[in-house]
Amino acid sequence: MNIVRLCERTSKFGIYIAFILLCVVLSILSPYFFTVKNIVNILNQVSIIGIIAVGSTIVLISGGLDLSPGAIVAVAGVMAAHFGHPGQYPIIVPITVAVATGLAFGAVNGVLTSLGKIPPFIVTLGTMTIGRGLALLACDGMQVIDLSERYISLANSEIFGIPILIILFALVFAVFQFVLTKMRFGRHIYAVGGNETASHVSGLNVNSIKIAVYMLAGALAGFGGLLLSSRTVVGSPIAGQGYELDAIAAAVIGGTSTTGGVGKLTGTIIGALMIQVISNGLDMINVPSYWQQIVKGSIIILAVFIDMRSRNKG
Amino acid sequence: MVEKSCLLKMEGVSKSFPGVKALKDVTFTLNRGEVHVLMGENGAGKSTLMKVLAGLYNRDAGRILLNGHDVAFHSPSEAIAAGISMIHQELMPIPHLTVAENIYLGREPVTFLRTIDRRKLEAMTRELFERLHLNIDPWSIMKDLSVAEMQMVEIAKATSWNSDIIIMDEPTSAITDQEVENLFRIIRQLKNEGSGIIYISHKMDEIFEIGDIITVFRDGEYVQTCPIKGLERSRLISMMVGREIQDIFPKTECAIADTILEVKDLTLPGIFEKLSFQLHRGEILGIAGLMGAGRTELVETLFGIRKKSEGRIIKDGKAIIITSPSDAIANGFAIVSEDRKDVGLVLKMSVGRNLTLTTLKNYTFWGQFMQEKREHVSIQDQIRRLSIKTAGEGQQVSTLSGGNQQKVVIGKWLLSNPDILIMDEPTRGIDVAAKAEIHKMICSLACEGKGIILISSELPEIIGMSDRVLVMHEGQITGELGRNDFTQECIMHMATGQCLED
Amino acid sequence: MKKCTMFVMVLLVAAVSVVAQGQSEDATIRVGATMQGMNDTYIRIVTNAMEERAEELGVKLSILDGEAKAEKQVAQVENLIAQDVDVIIMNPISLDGCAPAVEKAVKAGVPIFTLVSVVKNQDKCVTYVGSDAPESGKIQGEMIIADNGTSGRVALIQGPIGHDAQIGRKQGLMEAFAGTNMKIVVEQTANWQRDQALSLMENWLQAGQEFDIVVAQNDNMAMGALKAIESAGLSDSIKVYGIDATSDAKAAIEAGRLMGTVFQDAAGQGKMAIDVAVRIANGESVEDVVFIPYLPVNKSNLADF
Repeated sequence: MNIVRLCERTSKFGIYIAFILLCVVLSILSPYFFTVKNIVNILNQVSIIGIIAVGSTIVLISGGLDLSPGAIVAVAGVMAAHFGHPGQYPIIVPITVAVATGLAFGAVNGVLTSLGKIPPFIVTLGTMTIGRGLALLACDGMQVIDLSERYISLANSEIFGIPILIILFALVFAVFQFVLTKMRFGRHIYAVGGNETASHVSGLNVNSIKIAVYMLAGALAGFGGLLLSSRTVVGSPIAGQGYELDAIAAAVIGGTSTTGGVGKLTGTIIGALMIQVISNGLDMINVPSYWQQIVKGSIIILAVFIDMRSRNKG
Repeated sequence: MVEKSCLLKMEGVSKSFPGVKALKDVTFTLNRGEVHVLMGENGAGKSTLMKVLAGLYNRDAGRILLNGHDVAFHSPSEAIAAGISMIHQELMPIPHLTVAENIYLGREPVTFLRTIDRRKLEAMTRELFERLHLNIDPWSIMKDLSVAEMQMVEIAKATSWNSDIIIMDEPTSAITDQEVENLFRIIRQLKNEGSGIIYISHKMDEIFEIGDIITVFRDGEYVQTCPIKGLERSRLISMMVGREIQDIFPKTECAIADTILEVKDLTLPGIFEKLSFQLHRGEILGIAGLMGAGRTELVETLFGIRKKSEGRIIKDGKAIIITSPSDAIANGFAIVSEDRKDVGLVLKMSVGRNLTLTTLKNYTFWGQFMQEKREHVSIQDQIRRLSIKTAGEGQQVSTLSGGNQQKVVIGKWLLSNPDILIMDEPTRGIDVAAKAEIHKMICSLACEGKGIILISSELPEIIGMSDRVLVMHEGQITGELGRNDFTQECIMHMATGQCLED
Repeated sequence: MKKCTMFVMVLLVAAVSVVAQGQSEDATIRVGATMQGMNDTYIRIVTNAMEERAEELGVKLSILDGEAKAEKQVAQVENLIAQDVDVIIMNPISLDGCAPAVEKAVKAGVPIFTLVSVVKNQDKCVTYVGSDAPESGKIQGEMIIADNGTSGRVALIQGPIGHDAQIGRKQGLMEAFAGTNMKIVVEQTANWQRDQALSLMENWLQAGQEFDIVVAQNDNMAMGALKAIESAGLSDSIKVYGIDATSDAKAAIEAGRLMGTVFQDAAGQGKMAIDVAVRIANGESVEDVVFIPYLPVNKSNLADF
């Protein structure tokens, strides 16, 4: 066991310690918090934003930034819902439509940032705004209702007693964890985010890697949009508001660098859980609305502070 | 001449970083009117000691006596207030501000309205530059300056504090000979005014020219202090590395075979036009020239980093097309670039990940799925083969010393088993021992039948290593010299554009 | 090249202004409207009705989207004044923030009135077309008392805290509950959002919060809460009420899942806004307030809506 690796291991504990502390405090404040049912409940609630945050994390690692997932959630949800009325299309159609919508947005983001050399903040701010408009256009501002049983069951059924959302989230996590750690493409994402010039000179096709990353993030957001429309039983053009920021926050709380090249999906999961646990816990102990936001913000800053302190001590 | 009184005394200073003891019980003394050279291999602890002195690091143990008083600085501003200023090895300008604003940042002269008094600021800057014989416009934007000019501005900034102690950490790494002369003149002037200078450099010639006294460190420990007059180079080197080094340029003669690369009429608009040359197997082709002659641009164009407008590249008799680095790599090219930190390495990644970055595909099945065991074996081999000093392949590459970082870059490219190896300033900012190792490596690669293009601003390196030298001046090849013909004088003449009649 | 482009542009501007001049001279009534946000389903219905009615009456109507920003609406009113419209309709996002727009219109002599929501300096507007926000909360509360008697434990899911409708609807609800044993045991915001209301209700039920009635300040949130309650198998013991009478809420009432909602006549408001605008343009007098009443909706009268 060498020293460097040991240091890296201990430095990771910070955010976990903060997370466990939070859970202990909430368990003391509410007897219902630390129960199997509530843990399943929290995991179920975190799944959709978690799936989206996986995409945001790989974009951040590749040195990019994606503000469009929230809008993609809305467009993909509305588009999929159009094909999700009872007795019209097989279930694969809305699923494909949602994912394809996300892919298309991701492709635009990727091409404009890599080939077009426009800063990702601008590009994705633009596609976010366009997406919000398209979502309204696609349903003329009205929610798409009357969804089929099969469609609704996408996010509302259980497999062996485990809610399907949790299973889907676990699958997405496993696949992308594999991609990032065990595949060449994953290595390339880290390299491009760490140093674009060095990666280019080392023979990597930087542009296609970036485009692929944005497309994957788009596809995940599209899939998230499908699941959200299924969970809420409606294709809403105003769904997913603020999801992009929650997803980025989850990644960054979990230790992903905003300047690229550094990040782990396990951290992102902790970050997403952190956000979800805070709002679940505050709802449970019935903290008044005004205070919820103040408490939320304070806990997030405190958690990252604990994390950074433990890193420095390394 | 000012009396040589004791200005600074550091006793028993120690400093540790996680996993590394960077300084062990180090002693150092600086007198007024003295240029005290600090020498040692990379990682010997010179920079760490200076950062402790300048208030960037806190020491773990030891005393610092300034003019006989015990001091401890917790920030650079405290050190500056106490009369210690530092020129850092890594330049730290604020790119979008002007030269004058950079120099007087945080202490700008103000009018009675508390706005910046631009007229006074300009006058102060001009006066400073006049004293230092610098010809730079105070109002040019920092980012528009050349690296050499930026370095001179940093030097000017350090002297502007009128400090008693000025620390110069490799101040000549990016400037031309003429500017070095100018710097030395400034140093002598400061010395006569009674300042003490701490001078860190790897360049032997400079040390012997400007230094009065030298202290050598090795592996974080104090080795010896002695006057420079009468010191022999070989002794200095053995003090540094702890053993005798036979030769910095261990040139071995090996068979030069057939042409491996032929470049015809290569053109990069605005930089160079219609350059043609050849490279042979087993040959080390040196490219000499001053800064801005177009040497780096030439090899970057060859490697597909820059887009040529015209020209043919023929390898092994076949015309090849290179439009990107990946084309170049596929055709057996490799480049150890001038800028290790921005182009050579991904600093945020580990040693191992950097080593296999170009050749990742070799350690996969179906081109995508990593075979980590095979990769690990290869990385370990390479670390051993190049004797890279690292705590393990998982160590982040940014924490290695310069010499070891450079070995990682070379190791990365050797894994791709290239036919043609381009080395752009391969030993810049690297200590003597590592330099000698890299030179040895270059020679043995040539003997394996590879063609090597070597760019260097250090003429001794070009002369000591090359089989043939191309001299460039303002985008043109002004001369070609065989091994028996080149001397420093004749290369300098060609590099400055003066035709040499023999 | 540049000169040429400039010349063409000058020509175009001249041509456009001549055409515009020509238009303003004919007798058509020109009405400009700025709406608080077109991404809101309710506002969509209002504007659709406005467009339809304007078409019928031959009124030239231009509707602008305020994108939920008060300063944007003020700027839009300025633009409408500059375009010299006959009447301005404003559906203000903010009580205070949109007040300057009214000042500007009054100063320019263009009649302006508010629609659906009001502004602080309402007295300077010609009239107000819409409903009384507290009234919807009151009707909701009265309906609940009619269904459940005068005592019960209530969970309240609100709109964004500080939003005019959130304040008004809660105020009305409390008026209806005054003097009864209806108690609000827990309250929280879900920002009008369905997914937030869903998670909120899941968390409440998980925490063992006990209540008999859920009051949501709009149907969207009511539907989210309803789903969580049904998933927990508690639909028999908890009754859910909303406001708005959206189509899926009506379907839920028909199926007996949602107990009731409150119908705000969005289309009626839009249609009335155009009628009032025409009357103002023709110099007729208009009352200070033109109310379109709210109506309670439950299974018994569902067919009327």
